[in-house]
Amino acid sequence: MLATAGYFVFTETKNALQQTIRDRQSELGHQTIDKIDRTLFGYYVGIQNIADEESIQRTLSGAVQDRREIERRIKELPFLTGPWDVLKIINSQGAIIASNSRQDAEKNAEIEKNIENLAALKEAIKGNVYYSDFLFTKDTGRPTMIFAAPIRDQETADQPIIGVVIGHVAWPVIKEIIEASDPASEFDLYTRGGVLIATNQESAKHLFLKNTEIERSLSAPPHVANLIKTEADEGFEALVTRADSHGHLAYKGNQWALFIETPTSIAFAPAISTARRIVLVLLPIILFILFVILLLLSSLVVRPIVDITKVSKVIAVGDFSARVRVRTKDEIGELAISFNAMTEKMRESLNIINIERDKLAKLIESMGDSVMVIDTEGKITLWNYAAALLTGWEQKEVIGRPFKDILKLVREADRASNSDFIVRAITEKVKKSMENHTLLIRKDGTEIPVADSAAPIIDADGDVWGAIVVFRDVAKERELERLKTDFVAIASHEMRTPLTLIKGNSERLLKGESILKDAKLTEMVSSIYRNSDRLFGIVNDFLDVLTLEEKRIPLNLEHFDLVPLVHECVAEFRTFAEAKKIYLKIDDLSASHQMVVADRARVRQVMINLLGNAMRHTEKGGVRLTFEKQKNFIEVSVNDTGPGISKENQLRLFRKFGSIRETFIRSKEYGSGLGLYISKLLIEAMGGEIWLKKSSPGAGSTFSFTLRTSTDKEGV
Amino acid sequence: MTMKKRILLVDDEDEILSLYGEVLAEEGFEVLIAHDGAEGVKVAKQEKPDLVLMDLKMPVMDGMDAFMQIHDDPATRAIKVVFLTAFGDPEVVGADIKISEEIGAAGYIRKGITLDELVKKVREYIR
Repeated sequence: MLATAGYFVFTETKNALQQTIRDRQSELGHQTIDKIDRTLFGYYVGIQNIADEESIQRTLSGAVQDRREIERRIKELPFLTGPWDVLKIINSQGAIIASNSRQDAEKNAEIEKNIENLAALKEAIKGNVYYSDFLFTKDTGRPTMIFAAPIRDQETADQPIIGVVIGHVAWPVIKEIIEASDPASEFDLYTRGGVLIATNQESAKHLFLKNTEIERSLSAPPHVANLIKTEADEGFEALVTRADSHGHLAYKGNQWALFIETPTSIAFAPAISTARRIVLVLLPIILFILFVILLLLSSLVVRPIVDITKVSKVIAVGDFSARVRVRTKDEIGELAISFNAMTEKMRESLNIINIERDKLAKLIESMGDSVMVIDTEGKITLWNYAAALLTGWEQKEVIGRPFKDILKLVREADRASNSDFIVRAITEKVKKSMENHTLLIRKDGTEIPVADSAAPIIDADGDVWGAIVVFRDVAKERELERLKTDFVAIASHEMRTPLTLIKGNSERLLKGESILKDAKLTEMVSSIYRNSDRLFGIVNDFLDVLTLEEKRIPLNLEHFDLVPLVHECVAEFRTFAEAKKIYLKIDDLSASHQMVVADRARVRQVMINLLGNAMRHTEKGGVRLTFEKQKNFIEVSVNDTGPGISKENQLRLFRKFGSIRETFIRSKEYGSGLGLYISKLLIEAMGGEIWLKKSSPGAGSTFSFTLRTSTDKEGV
Repeated sequence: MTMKKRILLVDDEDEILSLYGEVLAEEGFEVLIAHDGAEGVKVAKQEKPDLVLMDLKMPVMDGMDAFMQIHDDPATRAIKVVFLTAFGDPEVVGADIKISEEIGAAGYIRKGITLDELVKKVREYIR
């Protein structure tokens, strides 16, 4: 690029210089030709001045007879003016009156015979100032130009022309002007006809010869001049300029042309060397400037950008401590500042993420429960310390492996594999806790009872990317559970006998006549009886719950008619209802038969429970039973007009030990609060549902349960 | 004089034997007692009562085994055996009727019932 610039500078400089040289040469040409023209103008004026000389005039007019004056004059004048080569005075008859030429002096009073002179004479006699073109005069054989002016008789009116003065220009005068020119260039003066009449070249072989080429070119319009001509014969390039003669003032000249020819090597050598010099000087300067600019650019722009790029590469690899140096206050500087700020933010965010991640990891590691996380392909991605302890598999052994190879869960009952729920967490996005009775087979083959649950891990878009499985050793729990159960069972069992006895003997006492006479005693014994009965009920409920929870009750399912059972249960509460003065009705029993599939004794138990609760709660109004037939079920509802159940308490209804305080407050009969819970277990075990249909404080309650209907006729 | 109906009570709890024994006696039954399954079998074989009320959980030999022995022995097969169950005994809860049907016992009586009901049931079974 620099070379191109340099070459360009060089060429332009060279051309400019060459143009200058060309112009100068042209100028010189014009100056020279002007000089010639002015010189010739001098002759033009000079000849007229001579013509005006009084002595010459008076001699010609005859006023002065003595010729000595004129002759003297004719000898002086060629040197005083001109210079003239030849100077003649010719009268109107054509006789040479005076002449500076010796020849003429010898041929006294001869008639002028020279053609050229005669031409001049002819013209001047008319009264015009005459000048010729360049010619070789026959008089002297020398190159010259002839000027002539008319001589007038000043003393006579009209000033008649009485003679002519003719002068031949001393050609060397003109020659000198040309010859004095700078010899490095060729100065050639041509007539319009193409004749070379003066040159500054020493070997002037073409002098006074006609050059046809020049003649041709002179006939062309002047603007064609100033071309660089190639001299074919001489084989070099030359700068040629042409200046045409335009005369001077009244002297119009002969339209001579002055050619200046300078060989290009000489003409332009200075130009080229100057151009070279300029370039040689300029180039270092330009280079220096460029260098400085580059330096500035680099430090101000390129380096900061390179810096930023380098730093961003470092950051991309993960080192967030790298920063860009801010060098300037401009936009680049701002970029650097922003970049650093952004990096700092990223570092902070990454820090926070790392801290949180570590916290989470620590949390999971410190959990007492075992945690396993798997990806969608079932490969283990997380395995905490508790899991390693429990299973015997180290974390490093399991990461990346399919969970089925590591976490072996089987059902206690039939030893069948029990890990479907984990797979389903991923495929079906369901959360599932496995029921008890799952065994974990450890790495060493031993077995531990566990409780486990699996849940899918779902990202913000709703896609599953894995599952989390939590499991724990429940052996101790089971142990505790068993202890509790056993304790309750044993205790309850043990309590039954004493209770039976208390109850039984109280009953006997109450029948005794002596007791009945004493009201107070009766009252006391009645209390003993009632409460032992109540206690009995509680104990039985405990045992019931235990049994039902272990789901080992074989339900005695049979087809039976619900209707008589209903009547039976209601009958038990008749006296109670009458005593309390509340109604007890059965509604809408659409048929007199309703076959169901259930355990009769248990259905009875449930009905007694619900009716009992209803009866106990109601002080005014009453209890009503309703039935609703559904597709495969019969729905039985027990409605009371009691105080209703608040929303809070509704949640605790069917739960173990979640009984409503009101029940206890008003309870006069047996009832441990487990009644609804037991009823729920029983009904559900029989394939039905039990729930609080409707209740609100002050508006009473309705409990409903369903039993499976049967199309069989009765069969017990 | 009509023969009094004879009832054999088999229970490991003395006080149960007294309570039920006295009540039944007051109702006009002749009451025999045994303290465990083995004794119960022996007395049953010896005395051939009209009804046996058999508690289930007993030491030495429990009620079920004792019943089996009585039932297997052709000499005592005809004797009606009624189980005394506690409400909630895991073995028999819900299966009371099945027991009577399948095993051949006459029935069951839950210990928690009132004495009046006890008497009523006994009269039913002994008929």
